[in-house]
Amino acid sequence: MRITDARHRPVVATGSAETVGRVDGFLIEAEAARITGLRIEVDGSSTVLPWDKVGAFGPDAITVTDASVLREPADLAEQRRIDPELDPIGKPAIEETGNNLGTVSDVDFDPATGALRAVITDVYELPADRLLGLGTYAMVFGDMRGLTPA
Amino acid sequence: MTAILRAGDLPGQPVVSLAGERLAEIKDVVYDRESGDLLGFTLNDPGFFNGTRSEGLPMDAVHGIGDAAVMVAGPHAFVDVDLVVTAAERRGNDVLADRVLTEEGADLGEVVNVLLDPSHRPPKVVGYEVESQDGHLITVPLEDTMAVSGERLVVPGRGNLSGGNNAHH
Repeated sequence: MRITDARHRPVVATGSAETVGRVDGFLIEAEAARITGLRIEVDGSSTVLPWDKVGAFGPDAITVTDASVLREPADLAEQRRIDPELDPIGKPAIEETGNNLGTVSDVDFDPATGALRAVITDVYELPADRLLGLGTYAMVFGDMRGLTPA
Repeated sequence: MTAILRAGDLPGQPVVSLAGERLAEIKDVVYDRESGDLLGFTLNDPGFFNGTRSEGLPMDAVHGIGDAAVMVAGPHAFVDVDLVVTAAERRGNDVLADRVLTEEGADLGEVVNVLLDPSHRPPKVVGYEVESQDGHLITVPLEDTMAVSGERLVVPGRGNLSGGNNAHH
């Protein structure tokens, strides 16, 4: 699944059948190449839906048991990852050698586990296991020698 | 993807950490005139209203230099700018504008750029770009340089630097 497809998807509580919020962004742990949670917009403010509290990441909605699983950032790492400035879309992808790998247009992930599969730029499809860092300026990747344009 | 880089293209390039943060921008390239080596960089703050930084980036702390950025492990790569610049200033700081003379006494022109091999860690000087009096650009590989004095470079032969290493525009 692509993060641009999943954005704005409603979060529905299965207990009450109510929409409790909308997906506004993704909390990404770059070093582990995985999504740790979702940034959910509830009445104009941001809360965290931890990945382990996601019931199902469906094609039309994300389900949770009830609204109480949404919470404030729990630690400094979450506080940092909830920052909308860390949205990967539009950022340069740079190899650790300083080489340009294109501009990030999407990120592919496994909706069952939250594991990142690939980072898609205007030039390459980059394997997510080479991801070294995601900052406010760029996504940084390890050595990509031998990579050919997608 | 590896190509030879011109040091003169680096000012203005972002300095980016492996965590993806833009920490600074390259202000100037600092050369050691005696050896012709690159010592490092002086820095500006990143962004539009950027001021000169009191920190510099020594060459041995550079993780990589490419067409998108100069990469460093993190902010701890920076040192007091004097540690980068003073060593060069003591010896007269710049190989640019030095004349290139052949062993047989012919003047080839002026050094206008330093060429780097970025695949080497830290990136290594591999040659010089020399502009001749009639405006041609000649590449002088470092292995052809016999001596660098702080005033001029001496290269072997008569200046007939053919053999595939030379780029003419």
